[in-house]
Amino acid sequence: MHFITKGQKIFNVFNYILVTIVSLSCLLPIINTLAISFSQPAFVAAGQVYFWPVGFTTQSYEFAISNGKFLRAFLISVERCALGVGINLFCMITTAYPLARSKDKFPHRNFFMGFYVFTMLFGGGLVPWYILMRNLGLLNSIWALVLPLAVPVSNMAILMNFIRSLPSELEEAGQIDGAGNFRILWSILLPVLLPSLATVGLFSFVYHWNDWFQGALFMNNPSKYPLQTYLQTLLTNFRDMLRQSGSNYYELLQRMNEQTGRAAQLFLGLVPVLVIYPFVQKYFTTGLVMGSVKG
Amino acid sequence: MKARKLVTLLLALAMILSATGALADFTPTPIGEVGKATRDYVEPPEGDWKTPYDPVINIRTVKGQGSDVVFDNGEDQTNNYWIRGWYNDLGIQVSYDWIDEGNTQYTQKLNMTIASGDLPDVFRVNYIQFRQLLKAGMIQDITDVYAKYTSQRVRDFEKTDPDTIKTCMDENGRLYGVPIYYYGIIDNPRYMWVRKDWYEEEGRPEIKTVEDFEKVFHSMMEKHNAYGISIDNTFEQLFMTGPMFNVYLGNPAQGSYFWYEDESDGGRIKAGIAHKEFKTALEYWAKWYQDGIINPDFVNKTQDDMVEDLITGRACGNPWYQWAGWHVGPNMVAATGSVDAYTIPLQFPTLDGSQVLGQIGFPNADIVVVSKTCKNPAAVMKLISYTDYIMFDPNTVLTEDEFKGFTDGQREHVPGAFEVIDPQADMIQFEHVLKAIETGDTSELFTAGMQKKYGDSMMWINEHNTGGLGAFCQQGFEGCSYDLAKYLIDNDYLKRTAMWGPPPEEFDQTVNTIDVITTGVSEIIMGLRPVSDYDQILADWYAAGGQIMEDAVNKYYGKGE
Amino acid sequence: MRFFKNVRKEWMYLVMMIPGLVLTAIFSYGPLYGIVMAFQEYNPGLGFSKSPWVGMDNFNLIFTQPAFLSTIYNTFFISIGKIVLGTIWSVVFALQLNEIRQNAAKRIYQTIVYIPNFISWVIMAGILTDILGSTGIVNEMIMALGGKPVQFISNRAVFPWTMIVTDAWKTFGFGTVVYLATMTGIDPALYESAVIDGANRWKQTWYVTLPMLVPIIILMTVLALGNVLNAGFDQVYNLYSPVVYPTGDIIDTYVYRLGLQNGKYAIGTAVGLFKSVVSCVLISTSLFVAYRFAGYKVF
Repeated sequence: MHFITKGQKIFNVFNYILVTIVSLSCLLPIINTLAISFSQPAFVAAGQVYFWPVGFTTQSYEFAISNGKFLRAFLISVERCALGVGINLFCMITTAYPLARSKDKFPHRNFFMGFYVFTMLFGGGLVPWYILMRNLGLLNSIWALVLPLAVPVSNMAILMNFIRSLPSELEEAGQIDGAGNFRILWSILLPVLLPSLATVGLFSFVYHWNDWFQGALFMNNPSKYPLQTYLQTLLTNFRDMLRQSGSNYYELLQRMNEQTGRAAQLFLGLVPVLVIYPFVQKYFTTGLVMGSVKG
Repeated sequence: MKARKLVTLLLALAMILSATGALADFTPTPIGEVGKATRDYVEPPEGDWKTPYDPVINIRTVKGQGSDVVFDNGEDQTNNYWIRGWYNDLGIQVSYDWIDEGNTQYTQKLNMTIASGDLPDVFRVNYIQFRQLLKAGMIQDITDVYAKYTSQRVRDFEKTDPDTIKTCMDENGRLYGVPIYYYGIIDNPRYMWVRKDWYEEEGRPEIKTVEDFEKVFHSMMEKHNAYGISIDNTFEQLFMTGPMFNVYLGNPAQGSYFWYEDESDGGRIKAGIAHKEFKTALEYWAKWYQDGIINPDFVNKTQDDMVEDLITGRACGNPWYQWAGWHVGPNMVAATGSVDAYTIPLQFPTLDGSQVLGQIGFPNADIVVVSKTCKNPAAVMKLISYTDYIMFDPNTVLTEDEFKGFTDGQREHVPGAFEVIDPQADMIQFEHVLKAIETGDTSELFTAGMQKKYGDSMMWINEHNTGGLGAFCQQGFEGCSYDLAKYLIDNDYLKRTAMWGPPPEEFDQTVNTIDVITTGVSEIIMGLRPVSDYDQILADWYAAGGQIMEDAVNKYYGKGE
Repeated sequence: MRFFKNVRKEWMYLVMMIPGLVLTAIFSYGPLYGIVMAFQEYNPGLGFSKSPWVGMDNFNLIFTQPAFLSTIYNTFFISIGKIVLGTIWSVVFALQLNEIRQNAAKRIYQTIVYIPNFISWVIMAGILTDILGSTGIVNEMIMALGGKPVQFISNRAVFPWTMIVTDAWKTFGFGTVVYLATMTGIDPALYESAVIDGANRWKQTWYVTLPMLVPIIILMTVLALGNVLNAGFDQVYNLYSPVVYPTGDIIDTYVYRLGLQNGKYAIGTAVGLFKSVVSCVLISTSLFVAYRFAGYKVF
């Protein structure tokens, strides 16, 4: 099957070129951002920075990192991701497993599925959400950031379809052994589910890592802001700074501005994702199959 | 069955964790100390507003704060010059229910707080929230405490600006809030900023008429292969040139209009875009688009691109606010390496060369209110007076340390809800700063703000440190933006909006009505439609909600029909 | 009786689902009463119980705005365009990668094309306006090839297409990963038997690979359809201008300008409810179609 014809050779070369061009186009924005984040603002504002820093400076990064606030916010984000991803995974598994059953085995399955799909479509809005948080006493607590959306429905559906696609022999073997549902889930399915869990876990991680809005809304005290909320507050102030007369920022403004600062923010926020992503990616191959083969 | 137990255990653990997590934080933790001061009513002390409470009382507030506020070592929001000043001088312990650092979600968070019903004692609101709170009966009548416990200076702000405080009253003339006032009308007029080095190359010709303007700009454009004015796609800047054609326009990016009395229609109030001269403006703008004064690419430009075009020498200047010096100058000097490459303000020319009028909008947008549950409203009045006492009162003597303590690192904004500003502050400050620069005599710089602006301007003048360029362009030379504004104000060359107060409630439903205009105007300028089409566009605007707005403005601000 | 019989059968499942159910009930169903706001003139001071009822006024206000109907059309046009082009792009790219034999290269390409997914539209919009401007690199290439420059962002006829293409470009990496994963999972025996039947590579792709992708394409499309009324606020908001409002304004950007920033939650809630109902209809229909015609059960 592996002999190569001349036509195939031409095709392969052509294919490589095309794939490379498209891939490069995807890489350019991030290189551009990186270059901007390390450049002096005058050159950035003058539109001279493309793919290599001009007037190299690390000021934008120093500004973001220099005080203890960055580290504090970073740790809060780590805590949030650990809790959030943990809760998400736990709830998704315990939801997806029953919902992957057929209607015969789990007669109320469709009711519960509907229960979740409904939340995908209808929401009550911010105000009652905030009031709820306040009444539960969750304001200013990390739990306000990790407990809502405990079951991300689309991701749960991915997991559920993955479980559905598994060969039924796997479970039947367990049932013959007399194992209960928990045991089947725990000792037989969980190891097999790993790729899929890695996939939905990453989605969940990216969500918790990138969300800044809930942090701004539910935290009373800036010292409890997660990283992205903190970085957001830094940036939105550049423009105000310019409008306010009498500030001590002039010096700083010569070395960084809104654009370079934003680029640095993007990068700082992206680093953990970029570090984790390649490790998880190998699971994607199997993790996202989602029962497609079985149909 | 071991695994099952384990899972059950995990499950239970998760539930318990959630529950304890909730319990542990059951009450929102206020920022700052609570409990050591009374929350009950305390008879305000006899004497003037400065007499401190004894025992100390507690006031709860919230604030949105720029993240650019910097505290000295060991200090923070709960412990700084202001907090200690309030505590020691007034006997008031201030604590915060929440602080929105970055000031991005203040309105949102305040709306949520209002909805939750647990209001702080005192907070800052916009007019929409003010109306809602008044309607809901959640804020208290402060007419009496305002009269009794506010400093004379703060009450005198009414003399400079008698109309603003009326917007904080109910229909019976009872006061429900104190306006913030801002820095007064001096920061209102806009200018045509032009690149100084290029303009000097032309010999600094006087630009009195629109024809002069076009001639000078075309000459600069040819020499430097640039286009004329840099604007972005929101029309915020282009609409500033309205006064050149005797029309006055709002900022379409914010859906705002400039309302004027139409003498030819019995003094009926109309939007600037309904003025018959607006078509003249459109004709000129369309022409400018054709002959390169306006960038043919302007519809693609964001505000950042607009600045970029100026800095890179792709434009000769642009219409902008008094603070343009901070935004453009430093980057332009850095990019060109020339200390003459920055923009300076010019008054707008007019069609017939007559004096242009400065466009003045209603200056106030925020109000300090006291919630009905607040036990000690008198304390709030004292706090408001204290900010003015520290910042603007010429008789206040502060040590060097105190000056720095209160104002360094943007800390003049720490008072938040108590930051009521003397509407004449900027005008007085400018007069003293310019005089000190011209004479070299710094003895009359008696507030922190004055010293700061003077110091910055001198930084540019003496060392060409671009950090001082913003202050210099605003206050530092004859012809700077505040100088031009002062000329307009002193000679009453002003066009005040007829809607001297907040927009009527009816406006809430018609925000997108401005789209009809911005879309139509884009097409006319780009030559896709003839100017004569504007009658139809305006008619569409009236139909889409313009009529509702016009009727509402006339109802509340008109002379009566 | 049947109920209890059922419960006995399924109690383990029910116990298992408790954490998810409780949290979802509290945090997703708890705030649902907020929907009443759509029928109120909401005043935060008066709250939900005391704010005056205005019936359908909020809906009337929105639907009588002259531009609102065209924003619905734009929303559908842009959304559906994105789904179609995004799917085609991801599938084609995945097929191309599938032809590459070196696994390392395959993995690197996959990783690279996924990266734009992590970049926010604010940043992306800044880069795109540079690239697509009249003096940007794309137009320079067009002119070098003897074409006329295209106003990608400011021409009303082109703008929706710009939204569709740039979004597909930004997000196709995700689809590629999904489809490639599916392709890797296809049983090699299927190809072998196709080869025995004399199928060349094109035919193998057409008759083996693509049919195996159909269920997953359906799943992705159904999930996307639930989102069809969110045509990408961040993207459009950061790239549009008044001149393209007639074709580029989508429901979310329109409502945002209508004053959501001024705390007009009632209007936002009304529009949200409208969107929910429409999405509900769309997703139900697509689920039905997927089940009826492809025999595929998504949920």
